[in-house]
Amino acid sequence: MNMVRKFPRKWAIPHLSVGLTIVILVFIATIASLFISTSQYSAMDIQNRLQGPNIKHFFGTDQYGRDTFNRVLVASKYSLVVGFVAVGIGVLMGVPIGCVAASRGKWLDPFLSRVMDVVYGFPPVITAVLITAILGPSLINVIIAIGLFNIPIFARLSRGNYLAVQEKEFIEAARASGSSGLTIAFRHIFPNISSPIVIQASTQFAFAILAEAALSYLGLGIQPPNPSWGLMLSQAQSFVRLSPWPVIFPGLSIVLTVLGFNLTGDGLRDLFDPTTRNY
Amino acid sequence: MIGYIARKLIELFLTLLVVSLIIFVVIRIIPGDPAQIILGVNADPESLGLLRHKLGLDKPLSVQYGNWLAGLFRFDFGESVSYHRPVSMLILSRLSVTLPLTFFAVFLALFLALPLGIFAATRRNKGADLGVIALSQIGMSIPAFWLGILMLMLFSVKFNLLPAGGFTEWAVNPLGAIKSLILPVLTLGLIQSAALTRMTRASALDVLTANYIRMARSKGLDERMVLFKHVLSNSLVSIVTLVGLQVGQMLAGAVVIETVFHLPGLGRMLILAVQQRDLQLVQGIVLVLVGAIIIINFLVDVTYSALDPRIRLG
Repeated sequence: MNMVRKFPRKWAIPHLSVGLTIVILVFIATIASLFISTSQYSAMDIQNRLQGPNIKHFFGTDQYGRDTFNRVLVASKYSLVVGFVAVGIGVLMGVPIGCVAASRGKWLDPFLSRVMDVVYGFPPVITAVLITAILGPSLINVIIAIGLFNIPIFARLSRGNYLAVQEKEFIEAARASGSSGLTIAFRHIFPNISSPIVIQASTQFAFAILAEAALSYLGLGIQPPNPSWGLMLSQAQSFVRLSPWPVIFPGLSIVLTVLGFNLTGDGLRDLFDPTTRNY
Repeated sequence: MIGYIARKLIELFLTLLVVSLIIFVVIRIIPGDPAQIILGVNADPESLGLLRHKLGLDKPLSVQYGNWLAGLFRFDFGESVSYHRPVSMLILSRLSVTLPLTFFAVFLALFLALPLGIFAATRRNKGADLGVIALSQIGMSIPAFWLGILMLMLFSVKFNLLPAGGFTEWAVNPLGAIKSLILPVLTLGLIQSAALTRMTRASALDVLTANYIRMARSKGLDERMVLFKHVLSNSLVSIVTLVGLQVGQMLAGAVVIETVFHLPGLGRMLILAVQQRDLQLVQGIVLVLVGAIIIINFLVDVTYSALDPRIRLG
């Protein structure tokens, strides 16, 4: 009973509510986009090109007269896929590396830390350029480039937290009561380092969406005729003297989605660790 | 301190060596024969063989790597296929765009973020603070290239105040060069200032609640004195680190911004070099950019430990 009464108050973090609402809306939009047929978002209608928002086309039309609203919705799917896979790569590879480095110490820790420094020296744009040179531009490039960049971030985070938790008395107690190293790692340390990882995942998700947009804008990512927010902006830039509308809506979609994940990350931080709250 | 720097220098050298090896290997995985790319599909086998020999492609990979590495120490990065000029010269010439762009953008970001962050921290949880937080939160969600396009729409297309892209060389017209850098610098600086404001506010808040600040105030120091002498200087330690970590993002951001504004900088040249499969050039630019990021991180580490002795002792 007490739990029930306490719960809503604990969740009353305004930016978390706003962030989660945006994230849920984006997911609903993405699911809705799965019902948009190919002809609805790729049918060209040159006579009605570069229109402003109207009843027939909520967000107007692009340089081929394609409906911007449908294309923005369909593109959200790619952004979310890149976000999920790139953050997944970062967590699934970075967290074990960080934990092994922290728990094995000795020569392995400095070695892994240096390797992570090297990987961190390659910003996604540069990695994507290198991979594009080998494989040609594609969505996979973008995912690998952002995923690789995420690995050292999660490795450093989990290493630091693992080291801090390892020093705690309850770990010593577990060790004294005869628990094995693996039991301690999985039952006592992981639950205590999971919340910073969840928070970071939300922030990196936002970063992945920004990075995907930038890479597709540069022509290193998703290729036409598939819609991607970054690619739509790159094409719209050429026609900016004729119509500003194709520039406005894909950009706003990126801002809103990224803002949603950033606010969620911040909100989760405040939820898990009330000492960092601003109010 | 000297021992610490020596150890860090060795680490830096090893890291750079590994980075050069990674870049070398990655470039060698790229399918296609560079000699064939240079001479075209109709080249006869004899001239292909000659060119391969000239480029050193007939030697084992380890010897090729050794030669490339030895060249780097002589500032010889090889020759660009598409420009027919030494890669080192090309990189140097493009720095006249990328360096001022990054430098002024960092400067602008600091110029905005430091006062705003500290101001917000002193008004904690009041309207002004929440306004600054909201602004920086939105700023952090805006893609830099989109802001760039919006700037172009406003200042070039609508009001016709500034050039819509391209670059007037410094030697031709310094004023023109500055004019063509205004919008790119504004774009990159504004975007970076968002994250920096937030971080400045957070570290200023940490400092503001410290006991020595209460001490400074209670001994009757002027509030401005407290802010500049104590709060700013003590927040600087973490801000230096954050700026250092951001420089990597700034360089990556410059690659994108140069494309938005058609600036002939390093980043723009990198994208073009990939499209033209000019691998020597790609290899050189990537090495310079990644090397710069790693060296800056090294400098940050050393500065940080000079500012805060606990780091190197810990």
